[in-house]
Amino acid sequence: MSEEIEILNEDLYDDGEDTMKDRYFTFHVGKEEYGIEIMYVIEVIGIQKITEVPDMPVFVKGVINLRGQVIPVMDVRSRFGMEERQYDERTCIVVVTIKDSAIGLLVDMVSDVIDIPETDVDPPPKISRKPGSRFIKGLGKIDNQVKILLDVQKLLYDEELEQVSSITE
Amino acid sequence: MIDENALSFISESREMIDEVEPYLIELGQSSIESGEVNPETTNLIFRLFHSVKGTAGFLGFNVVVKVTHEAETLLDLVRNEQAKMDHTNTDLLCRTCDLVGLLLNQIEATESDAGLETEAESIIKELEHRILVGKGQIPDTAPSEPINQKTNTVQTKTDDIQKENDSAEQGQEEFDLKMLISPEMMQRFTEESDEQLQQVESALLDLENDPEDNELILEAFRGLHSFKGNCGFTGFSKLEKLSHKTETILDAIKSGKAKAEPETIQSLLHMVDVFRQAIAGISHNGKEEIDNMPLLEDFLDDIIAATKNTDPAVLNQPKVEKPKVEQEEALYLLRKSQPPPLVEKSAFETKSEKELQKTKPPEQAKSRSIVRQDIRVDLTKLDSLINLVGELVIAEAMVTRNPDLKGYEFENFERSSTHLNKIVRDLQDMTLSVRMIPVAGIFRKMIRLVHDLSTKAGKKIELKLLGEDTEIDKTVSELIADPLVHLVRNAIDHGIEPPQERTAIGKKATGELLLEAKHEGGEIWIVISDDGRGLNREKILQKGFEKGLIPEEGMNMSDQEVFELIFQPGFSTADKITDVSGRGVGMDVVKKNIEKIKGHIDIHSKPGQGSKMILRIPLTLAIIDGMLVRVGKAQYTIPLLSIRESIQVEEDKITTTMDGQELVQVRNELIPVVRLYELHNIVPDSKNLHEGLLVIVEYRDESAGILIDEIIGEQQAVIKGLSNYVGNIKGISGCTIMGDGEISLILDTGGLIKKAQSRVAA
Repeated sequence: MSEEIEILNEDLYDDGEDTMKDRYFTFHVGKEEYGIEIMYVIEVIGIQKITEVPDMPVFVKGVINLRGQVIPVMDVRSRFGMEERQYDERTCIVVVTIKDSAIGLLVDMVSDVIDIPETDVDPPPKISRKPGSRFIKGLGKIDNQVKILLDVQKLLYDEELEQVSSITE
Repeated sequence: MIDENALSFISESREMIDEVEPYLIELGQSSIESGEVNPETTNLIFRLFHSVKGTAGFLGFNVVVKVTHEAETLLDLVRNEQAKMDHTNTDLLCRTCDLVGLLLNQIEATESDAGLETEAESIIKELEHRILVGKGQIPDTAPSEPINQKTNTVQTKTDDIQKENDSAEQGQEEFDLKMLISPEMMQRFTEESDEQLQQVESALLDLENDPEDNELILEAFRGLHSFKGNCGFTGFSKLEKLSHKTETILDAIKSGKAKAEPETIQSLLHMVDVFRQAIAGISHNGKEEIDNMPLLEDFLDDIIAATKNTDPAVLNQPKVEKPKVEQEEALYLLRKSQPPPLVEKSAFETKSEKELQKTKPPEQAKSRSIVRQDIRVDLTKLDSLINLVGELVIAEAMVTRNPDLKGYEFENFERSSTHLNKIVRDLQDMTLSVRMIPVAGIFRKMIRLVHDLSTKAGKKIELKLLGEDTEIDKTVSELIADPLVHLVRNAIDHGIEPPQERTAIGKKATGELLLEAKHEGGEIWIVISDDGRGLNREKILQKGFEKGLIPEEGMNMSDQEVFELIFQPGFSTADKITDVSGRGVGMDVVKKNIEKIKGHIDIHSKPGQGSKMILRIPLTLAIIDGMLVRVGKAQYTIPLLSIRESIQVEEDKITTTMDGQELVQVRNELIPVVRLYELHNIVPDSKNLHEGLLVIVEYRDESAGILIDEIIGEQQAVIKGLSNYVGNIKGISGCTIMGDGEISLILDTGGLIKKAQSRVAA
C-alpha cells in the first residue's frame, strides 16, 4: 500500500520539474556546441528585425517585437567576445526567461534537446583566460562529444569583468 | 513569484486567524456572562497575534505589524484586567482579524500589504481609541464598564510606540469621531452588510438541509457578528440590538443549547430579510427605519427564552410548549405584516396584532432594494482589460494604416476607420479612467503623519490639502505614497523651524505645509511646499564636494542642479541622524519611485522662505499622443505634448559656438540643436541642417531642436517598457509597437536635452 503511494508520488513529481532536469537545449556558436538548461527556454524564433537601442553594451543588439511583447536581444557571439558575423537563414533567436523577463539570445544555429545526466557533467576548467569562460557551468559529455553547458544567469547578468581580468592577466 | 517565506507566512497566519476568532468570541462571551476573562485564552490569543506580528515584521509587512501591534496592546490591557472584553472590544478584535485576513490576501496577490491602508487605519484608530478607554484616559462612549484604576501600571507596561503616541492620540480623537461616518463609509457599510447578510442567508439555507453542520452555524454566526459590529460602529443601535438578539439564538444553536430546527431557521431567515430591508432603507435615505421594532424584539426574546428552556432534558415538558406557540404566532403575524397589506384577517385576536396595526409598515418598504454603485473587480482582470485595449489600439493602427492601403483612396473605408478610431479612443479613455483613484487617499494619510511628526519634533504645523479630488492611476498612487511620506518628513524635520526660531525671524509660529495635486499640461503635479528655512545651497554643495559628487566646490551650478544632489543615495546634510531622517535614504527612494513612473521632480527653494517640491507625473502610464519621425532607418516617437513646432531651417539662421554647439534662431530665441543621429549612432539621410527638419521640443524652461529626416505622422502610442534587462536609458522613455509591427523608441525630451548638454560639455 505504502509502496503504491510512493510510486504515485514519484509519478506526480515526474510530471513537474523533474522532466526538465538534466535536459539541455543545445545550439551552435562558432565551432562549438553549447547547452542551456531547458527550463529557461520559452521558444525559438527566426531572425527578425531588431530595433537598435542606444547606450547598450555591444552584445545587446536591440529589441524585437515578439507578438506584442518587446524583448531585448543579446548576440551570444559578441557576448563571448567572438567576432560578429552576418546573420543568415540559420541564425535563430532563442527566447529565454529569467527573473520574469524574457530575453532573446542570438545564436548561429539551434541543434537539439538532449539529456545529460549529472554524472556526465564535468566542472568548468579551472584555468581559463578567455573572457567567455566565466559563463560556463560545466562540460557535458555525450557520445564522445563535449557540450559546453552555460550558466544562463551569468550569461545574462554577469557584469563586464573583462577589464578587470585583462588587467590581472 | 511570491517569496516562499511570504507564502508560508500567509498560510500560517490564515490558520491563526481561523483559530483566534472562536477564542475571541468565547472570551467575549465569558467576560460578559461572568465578568471574568480566562487568562489562558487571552494569552493564547495574544501569542497568536504576536507571532503574526513577528513574522510580518521580519518580512517587512508594516501594515500588518501596525494592526497586530495595536491589537496586542489592547489584549495586553485585557490580560492585565485594565480593559474588559466587552462587545466593542471583542467585535473590534474580530474585525482586526478580518482585516488581517484581507491584508494576507493582499500580500498573496501583490507581495505587499499596501492598498488596505484606509481600512487598517480605521481599525488601528479604533484600537487606539479602545486602548485609551482601557487606560482610562478618555471616557468610554459605549455603554461603559467602570474604568479600571491601575492606569499607572499600564503606562509602564505598554511600552515603546504607545507612549510616544499617547499625547498625539488625545488630539486625534476629535478627528476620529468626525471621520466616523462619512458618506463613503456609509456606502461601504451598506455594501458590506449586504454581503454579510448574503453569507448568513446562504449558510442558513444550507443549514436547513444539514442541521448538524457546525461549520455552517459558525459561518452564519460570523457573518451576523460582523454585521452587528458594523451596525454598532456606524451607530445603528436598533439594528445592532436586533442582530445581537439574533446572534444569541445562533449562539444557542452553536453551543448545542438549541436545535437548528426548520422553524428556528425560518425565523432567522426572516430576520435576515428584516435586516436587509433596513439596510436598503439606510442606503436609500440614510435613516435607520425598522418596522415593528418592538414586535421583532418580543419575537426574538421569545425564541431566546425558548432556546434557554429547551434544555435537552426538559425538551418535551409542557413549559416549553407555550413560548413555542407564541413564537410561531408572532412569526406568522410578522409575515403578515409585510405588504400586501392584511387582507385576510388573522383568526387570532392577540396582543401582538394590536401592536402590529399601530406600527404599520411604510408603503414603499418592499420595493426598495440596495442599489450598488460599484462592483469590485479583481485588479488583474482590470489590467488585462487595459492590456487588451492597448493591443486594440495597435491593431486598429495596423488596419487603418495598413501598408497595403498606400496610394489608394477609399472614401468609405476612410469614414469607417475614422469612426473606429473614435470608438477605440473613447474605449481607451474609459478603461484608463477605471484605474484612476483620487489622491485624497494618500493625502489623508499625511494628516496623521504630520500630526505625529510635528508633535514629536515639537513644531507647530498647519497642513493644507488642495486638489484632493485629482485622480491618478492606482499604480502611480501606490508609488508616490512613499515619496510623499519622505518629502513630508523632510519638510517637517529639516524645513520648518521650531516655533521660537520662527517667531525670532518674524514668521508665524505655526509653520505651513501645503500638499496640492493638480493637472498641469500633460502631467499631474503633486506639490509639497513649506514655509520653512529652505534648502541650504552652500551646505549641499559642501557635502556634495565632500562626497565627491561634484568636482570642485562652488562650481557654477544652477540651483536645480545643486538641489538634485539631495537625491543621491546616502546624501544628507543633517549633522546628526534622527529616527525621522538623516540617513539620506529617503530622497533616494523618492527619486527611484518617481523614475519608475516616468515622473520628474522639480525643486524650488528660497533661503528663509521655504521650499517647494513638485512631483511631475505623466497623466497616463499607458498611452500617449506621439509624433512619429524618421532618422535614417530608425523611427522615433516624440510625445506630442512636448513638441512646440517643427521647422525647416535656413543656413543663415545657424550659429555655431566655439565648443561646437549649434544654435538656431527661431524668432527671437536661440535654440540648441540636437543631432539625434549622433546621439544614437545611426546613419541619417542627410547631415545638413537645412535638408532635414528641426522639431522644437520643450522641457521645463529649456528647449531644443531635434534634427530629424522626416515626419511620418501623428499616432497614438501604447507605451511599452524596454524590458527590465535593458534598464533606464537616458533620452528614451520607452517604446511602442507600430502598425507594421516594428518598434519605435519614444524619446524623452528632458533626458535628451540633458544628454546633449553633457555631450557638448564633455
